[in-house]
Amino acid sequence: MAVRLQYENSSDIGVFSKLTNTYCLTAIGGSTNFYSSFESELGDVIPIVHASIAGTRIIGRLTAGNRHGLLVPSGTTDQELQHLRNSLPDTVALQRIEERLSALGNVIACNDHVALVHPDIDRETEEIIADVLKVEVFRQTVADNVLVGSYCALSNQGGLVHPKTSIQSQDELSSLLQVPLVAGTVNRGSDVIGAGMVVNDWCAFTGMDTTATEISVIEATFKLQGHDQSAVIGEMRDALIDNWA
Amino acid sequence: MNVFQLPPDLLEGIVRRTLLSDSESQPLETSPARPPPQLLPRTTGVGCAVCINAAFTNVEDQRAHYKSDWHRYNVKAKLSNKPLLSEPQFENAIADLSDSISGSESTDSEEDLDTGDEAKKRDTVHNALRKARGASSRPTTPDVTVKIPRSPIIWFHCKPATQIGVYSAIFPTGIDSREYDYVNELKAMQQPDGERLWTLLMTAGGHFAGIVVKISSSNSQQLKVKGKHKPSEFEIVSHKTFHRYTTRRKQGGSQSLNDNAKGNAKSAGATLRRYGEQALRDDIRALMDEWREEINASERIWIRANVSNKRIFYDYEAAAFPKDDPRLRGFPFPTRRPTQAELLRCLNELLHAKVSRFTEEELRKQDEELLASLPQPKPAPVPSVPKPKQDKVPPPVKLTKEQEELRENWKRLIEMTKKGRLDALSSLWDRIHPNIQSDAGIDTRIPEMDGLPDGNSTLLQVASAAGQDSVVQWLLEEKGADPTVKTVPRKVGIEISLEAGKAPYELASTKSVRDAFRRAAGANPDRWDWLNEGRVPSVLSKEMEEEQESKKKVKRKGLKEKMKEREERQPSASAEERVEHPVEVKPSVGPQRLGGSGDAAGVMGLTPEMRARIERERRARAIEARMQSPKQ
Repeated sequence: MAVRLQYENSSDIGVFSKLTNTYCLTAIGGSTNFYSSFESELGDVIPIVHASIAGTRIIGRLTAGNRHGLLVPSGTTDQELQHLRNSLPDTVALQRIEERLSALGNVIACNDHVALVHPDIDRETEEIIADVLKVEVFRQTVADNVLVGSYCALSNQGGLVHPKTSIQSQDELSSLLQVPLVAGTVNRGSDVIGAGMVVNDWCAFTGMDTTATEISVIEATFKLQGHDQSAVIGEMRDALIDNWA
Repeated sequence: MNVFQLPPDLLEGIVRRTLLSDSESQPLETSPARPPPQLLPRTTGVGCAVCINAAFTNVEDQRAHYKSDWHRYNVKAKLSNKPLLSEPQFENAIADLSDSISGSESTDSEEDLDTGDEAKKRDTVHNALRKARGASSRPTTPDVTVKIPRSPIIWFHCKPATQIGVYSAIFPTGIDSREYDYVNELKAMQQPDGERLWTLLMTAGGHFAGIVVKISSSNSQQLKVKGKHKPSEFEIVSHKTFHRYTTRRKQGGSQSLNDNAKGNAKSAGATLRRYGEQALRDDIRALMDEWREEINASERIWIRANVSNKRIFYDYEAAAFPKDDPRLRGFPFPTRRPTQAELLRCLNELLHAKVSRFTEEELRKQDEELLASLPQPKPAPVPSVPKPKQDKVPPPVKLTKEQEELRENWKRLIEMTKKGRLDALSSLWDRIHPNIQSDAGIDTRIPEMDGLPDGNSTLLQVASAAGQDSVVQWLLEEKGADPTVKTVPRKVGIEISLEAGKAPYELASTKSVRDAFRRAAGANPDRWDWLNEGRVPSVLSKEMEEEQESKKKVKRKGLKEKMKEREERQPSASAEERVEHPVEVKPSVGPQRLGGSGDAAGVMGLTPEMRARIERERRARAIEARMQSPKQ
């Protein structure tokens, strides 16, 4: 199921929220609409936590996490850390990282098994990622962009990557991740996939600008509805490929 | 050797050295943009999109490759538009590096306190990249400097076998560097025309260091330094260092930058740093005023400072020198924290000419190798409509019966070599090799005939390029094939043109083939010149292999335990699901020829609508293929 929503008139909801299989973080904001949209979908399944990181609302770009853990940047205050610790399930490990590239959400893209990271990330950070998130870590680029977290969205079912990713590197990435990848867009053609949507294994949230076609690609890619990925080729084929070719 | 005190006999026949002056190589080196590396046909399906010629037999190898230093280096190199290295080249680069790692005292190595192998390994890639960047400042590797089109060092060649490298920044500016006669200028620099003053200034991160030195310009009038017996090449006229607290700890950057970006910060620290910056500027300007006479008399003023810090020196009324002073120079190599010791090191680096001793033949060879190692320009796409053969190819020459037979035999040999059918190959070779009239035996070059692929290469080269490790091993160990025979450029009628001058080892496309070479080198180290002529980077003995194997075992064991632990803790379905995910490896479907997919040529003559339609179909197929592969 994919849901459209907005954070205070911005469609870049991936900036203001973080969604995994065991928890969801949302930014503290003026209206509770944003929070309510998550609540209505996930309410009794996983905890939804109001949080700020280093005093900012861009928590989606500053944190990285999966069902095993959550990584926060060095700027996170002790109070924020304590609040997160109290709100998250006990099985989720929480770790603050001293890393020069502090927007962890932009430099790390992960599902529950594999993480793609920025090629310049520290060796120590790489080890912490592997230990806390329990993933295999690969230094990669997505469509020659080092900000792997910004330009792709991953779940254990599939992944959506930057529209200009070459076929060859899609093959390469999908053999690393062991999930099928589709190149696509969100928010009416925006290529910053990570900022435009959040996804876990059973639901996805996208920005309000996302078109119906984009929604159906997302649902098929992440296996969110009855139909599986072959629908991208079957039913949606004409609508999609006419746009691209 | 001081650049101002070169021996006169050396200067007699000195000429400026440029990369291969023959006309044929000219277009190669002037090609403006670096073409993308060629994609060589792979023998197996799995590969790496970044690393040149990387092919793997299974997905585990591929994943291990993505974690290797070689891959990490290439990813970073690709991002900064530096040349990508093949595996042997990377190994060589790392081997060159091993001594410089231990000797480095850069600030980042100060931070990693955990020394030892782990720390070294961590920095290998970083250092290799840094070395690729700063290669030109190393005196020991003069040949690397030519690789960069605009090198900071200008090389001169003196007749028998001596090369001298001098930083171009020492020469005056304002003259077109192409036409400028560096040789005459170098000779003029040797004249004992009194004393030469240089001012060197550095500022960064709140540190400042500056010296004014007098440089003696001829051997006869070397200056005596007070308290020292040894005559020195220079004498320090005046020197000064300051330090003020200006940089923002942990956040980095200077206070003024932060103030400009975000408005004035109100903390006590910010006030201190603002004061520190002000005070540093005043200190420096007062010093410049004090040194005004010396600076005015200076022949060169060397400055290391970032853009905003440079304004300290000339952005005020009574500046000691203007912004566009022709004497101003930056340091043409990386420098460290501004201290007096660092200034002296830089001065020595500038003053001392780099010397290398190669004969002319060696130099020519180096140049040729360098040119050969540069990526070749992309060949024009093959036109889809084959032209009538009569246009190009002369009518086939009638072959005699013996020639016909010879050709058939070679054809079968090549085919078996490429398919790796060792038994058939060895029996066929035993049967036909008396017929092949050549003294070279197994190293006979395949004759260039119509309809015979791989003309002019040896069987070893063919086997190596085809990735047949068992055949390579058989050829090397039982037949004693020569691993030093280089490839020669081929004539018409070939699909894949090999680069000339490559040893069989360099043609190898997989690790197992390379290991076969290294193993054979370990077994018979004295038989051939494996390391130089054969270009085999290192030998592989039984013990080394066993050691590697045991290391791998330990590692695998550790990994298994970790996995077990993880599974025990969370016996959820998804973990198992993942292990069971079969990874189906598709063979790379692209056409096995150079120049990428080459499909663009296929749609050349079509209408735009037709082209769009074909493109559409192709994309649909690609998506379909990707979707289906990992499905259970």
